[in-house]
Amino acid sequence: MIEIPVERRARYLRNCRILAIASSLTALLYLKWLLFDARPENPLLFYLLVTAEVFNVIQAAGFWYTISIQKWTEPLPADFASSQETIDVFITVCGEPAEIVEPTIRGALAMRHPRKKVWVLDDGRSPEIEWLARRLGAGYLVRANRRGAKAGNINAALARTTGHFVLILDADHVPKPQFLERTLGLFADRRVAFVQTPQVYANRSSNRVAAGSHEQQALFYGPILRGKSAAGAVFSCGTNVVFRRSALAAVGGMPEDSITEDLRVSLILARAGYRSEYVPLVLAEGMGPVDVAGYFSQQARWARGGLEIMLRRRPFFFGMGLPAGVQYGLSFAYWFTGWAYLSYLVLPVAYLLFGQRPVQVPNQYPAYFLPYIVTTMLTMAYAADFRLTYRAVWFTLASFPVHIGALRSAILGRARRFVVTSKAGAIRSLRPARVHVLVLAVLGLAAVLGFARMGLTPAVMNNVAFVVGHTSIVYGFVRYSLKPEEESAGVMETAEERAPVRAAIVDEEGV
Amino acid sequence: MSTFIRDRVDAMRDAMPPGLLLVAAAGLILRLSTIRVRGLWLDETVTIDQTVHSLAKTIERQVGNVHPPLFHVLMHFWIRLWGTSELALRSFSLVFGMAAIFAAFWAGRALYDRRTGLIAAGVLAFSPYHIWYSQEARMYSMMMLFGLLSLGFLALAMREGARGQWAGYGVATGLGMFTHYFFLLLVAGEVAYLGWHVLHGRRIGRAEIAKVLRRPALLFEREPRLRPLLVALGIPAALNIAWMARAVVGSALVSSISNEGLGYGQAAPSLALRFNDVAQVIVEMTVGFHAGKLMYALVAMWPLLVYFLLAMLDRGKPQSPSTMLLLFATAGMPVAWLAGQWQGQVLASRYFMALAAPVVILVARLAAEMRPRTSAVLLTAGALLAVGLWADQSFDRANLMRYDYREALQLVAQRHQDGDVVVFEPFYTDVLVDYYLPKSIPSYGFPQYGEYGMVRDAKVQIGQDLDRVVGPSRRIWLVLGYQNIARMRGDAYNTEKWFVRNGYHVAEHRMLNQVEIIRYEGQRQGFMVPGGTGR
Repeated sequence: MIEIPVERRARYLRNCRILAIASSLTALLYLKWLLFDARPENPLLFYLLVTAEVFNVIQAAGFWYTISIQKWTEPLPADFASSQETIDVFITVCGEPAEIVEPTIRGALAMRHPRKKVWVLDDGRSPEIEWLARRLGAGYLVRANRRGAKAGNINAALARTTGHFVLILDADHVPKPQFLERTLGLFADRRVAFVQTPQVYANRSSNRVAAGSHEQQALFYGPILRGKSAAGAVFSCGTNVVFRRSALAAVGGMPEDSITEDLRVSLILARAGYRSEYVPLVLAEGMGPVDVAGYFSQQARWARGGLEIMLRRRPFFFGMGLPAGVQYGLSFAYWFTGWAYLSYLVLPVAYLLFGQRPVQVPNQYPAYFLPYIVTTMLTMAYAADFRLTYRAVWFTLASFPVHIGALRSAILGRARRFVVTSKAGAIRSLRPARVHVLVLAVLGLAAVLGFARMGLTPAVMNNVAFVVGHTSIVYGFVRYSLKPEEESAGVMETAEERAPVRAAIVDEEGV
Repeated sequence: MSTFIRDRVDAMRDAMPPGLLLVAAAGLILRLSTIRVRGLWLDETVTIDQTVHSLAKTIERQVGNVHPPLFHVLMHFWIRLWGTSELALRSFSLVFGMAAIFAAFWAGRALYDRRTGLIAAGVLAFSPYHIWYSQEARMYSMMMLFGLLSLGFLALAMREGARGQWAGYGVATGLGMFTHYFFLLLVAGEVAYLGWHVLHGRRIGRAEIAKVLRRPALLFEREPRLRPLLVALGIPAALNIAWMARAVVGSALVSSISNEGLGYGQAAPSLALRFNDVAQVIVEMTVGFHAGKLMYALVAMWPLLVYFLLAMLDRGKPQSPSTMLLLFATAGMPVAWLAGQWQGQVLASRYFMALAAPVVILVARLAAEMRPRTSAVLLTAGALLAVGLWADQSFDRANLMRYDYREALQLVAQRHQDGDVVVFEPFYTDVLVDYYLPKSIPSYGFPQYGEYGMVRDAKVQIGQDLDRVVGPSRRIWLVLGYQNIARMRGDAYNTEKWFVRNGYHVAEHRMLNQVEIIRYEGQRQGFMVPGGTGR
């Protein structure tokens, strides 16, 4: 989570706007050259490049707009004494071991609120969890079937509880005592349906995959959600979120027909005229994915859920204002990032293997491309308060197989099922990164054959440089597949001890 | 051993650790072993031409020159001591190059710590680029030395404020300013850092700027370090301005700047976004000089810069004042790049030697921050690679920065017969011909083939002049020199055409690096009386 201290916010926002304008100018110059001045060589590759670049510029422009409108929500502490409102805390469990759930129950019970009730919603029907819940003083709810996955679990609990508000916590997200004090105040506005808080991963120091995932999310839970908050487009992220029960009831509870029920319910509530808020304070800490397979399955679920809503439902932007519609559109379009990156992977390979390239006069290319890419990176780095890591970048770009698989599944509408990840902790296997291994092999082969065919020419070296860059991006997941934990032996032990069990939904054919 | 001696030994070891001595020894071996592998090139012989006269004339000749006089004055005395052999000339730069290695250690330690200093010294010792300029009889190794000293003294003075440190800063910066005008880019960066330091440190709030403008003394009250700084920087700056007023204003240089764009040809200013030129500066400074094919290929690898920047995204917010100072000190690079949009020749990498000083320490810092094992592996690999690059740079005859005048002119001298005439182009290579060709051999320099705008209508001029000097000679040696053979070779064709038209044929042709020798044979009829422009 990227937070900006109060005293720096005005300057930070002003600088974000200046950088956004500078980036827009360089982007326009670059697009002008690419679309009107560049001389295409291979038409197919040219349009591939143009499509990828136009997509990226649109995404970047959305980012620049978002960071330019950021707002910080500072709710007044809720006055619990003057109202009689009650809250139910739902801890959703589906097979996680007791040692993961216990701190969450304890944290939930320790939250300051005079009229709260903590419930463990156990879809795993574990006697151990039941014993634990009862021993600690939490309610324990199970249902007859597991229909509707997490959404069904929450709906079943909603039917058996009565609190005015509902806090949803994943089994591994341990709340801080002040969670409710810092969030419930925002419900003074009757139109507010839910208040979302950031997700951060406590196991980021002991596991490299969790760390990368954490760093990748930092930008989202920082400037991006602050911008979405200003546009009225904060969406629920499934955990660390407080709902108003009456709002949920008004839209028929959690939708059970989407694998991203959190995102879908946010859209339904927005269309129904409700508002959402984002509190940029870390009020709970959870566990991130501990291996590459876990990370990919999490991404696949989010990607497919978003794309499904975008492609297969009625237009998502109906019934909401333009700024919110733009923000939701940007969030859905993000899942095409992998396609754009795949295009970039194709270009150097096409030249090195077949001598085909998108544009002539490559000497002009850096003159227009470099100002654009440098200002864009600088803007991103500044917006992230210089905490955006290279790992976060490659975690995004190298997830391209997931994005591609998600789009295919969303279009074909393939059925999916629950897959509970192993309880044995991180799995060391190259299998999740097999596409990456293949891509690395193709890149390496292209470089070797390119040298062999054309020799040490500037054009070959230019493409080889891109190959080297792509390798540094794609190779990461291969490395992390084989060794997800940190290198330090002590840390590794801790990681294995704390390896969580996560429920995830993946496509039938895998990721 | 008494405590006194032990303390002295410890102090000595601290100032000059064994690791530094090893690194310096390696640097010396790399520099000395190849110091004579390549012959002198044009600028080095120009150095002789500018400094062999009396001291007064040496200084006078720098008035209106593109360089300030310090290097030439020191070189004047050096030449009087050691002569003008290749080794003697280049030893001058070698001394400063070696001093720069020790200065890198000292500055790295002053700015950060001992480890950074040692790595910085290692980077310089093995850098093919720095080796090259430690072997060239020009002022660039001096620039590096004074750049490092200036940064080190400024860091110490800002931290500790001792009078000697401010004096050291003033002296180093002043010497730098009198070594090369581009040193001012480093000074501008240092001053910008101080401005940032004052504003960012809230010594002067934004609202108080107007107040400071009304009463500048407020600035000194809030930031006491500004006073010694002003003295330290003011004295050399005033001297430099005084020199520039005499040397530059009203001199031919000003008109050459306005008329011909810094004296480099008559090309109209144009905005060409010279990113490849900038990439070339970075490539040269990183790997030194190599065959054109390799250099162009490396320049084309500019995408690696993008990935490097991506990897540095989270390092954009340095907390340490030292890092901020070094980053500000490199700020002249984008300024020069902007200037280079109008005149690409400004983007010659050697002019930025002073700005390379902060970069060397930043690179060393980056390596020092890595885990010891990682940085050891990287540094060893880097040193091995650097040695390979050094060898290629020194011995690869396709190196674009090698000018084979020594080989060419020695060959002409060996094969010369009585009655032969040597004709060389362009005319200003006469200093090279003077240096390598015995005075007994008559030679004639000609305006070159239209480059640099010396003689625009080269065809006619060359024909008339050649007519005058060639006379009845049966054998003519034509020595054609280039600074960029790919660009200039076509223009030399005018001269060759004249020989063919006048009854000569090519008897021998040798293409060396950046120098071409053609021996013509034939008998001209109806020649004119020899005269003209011989040496």
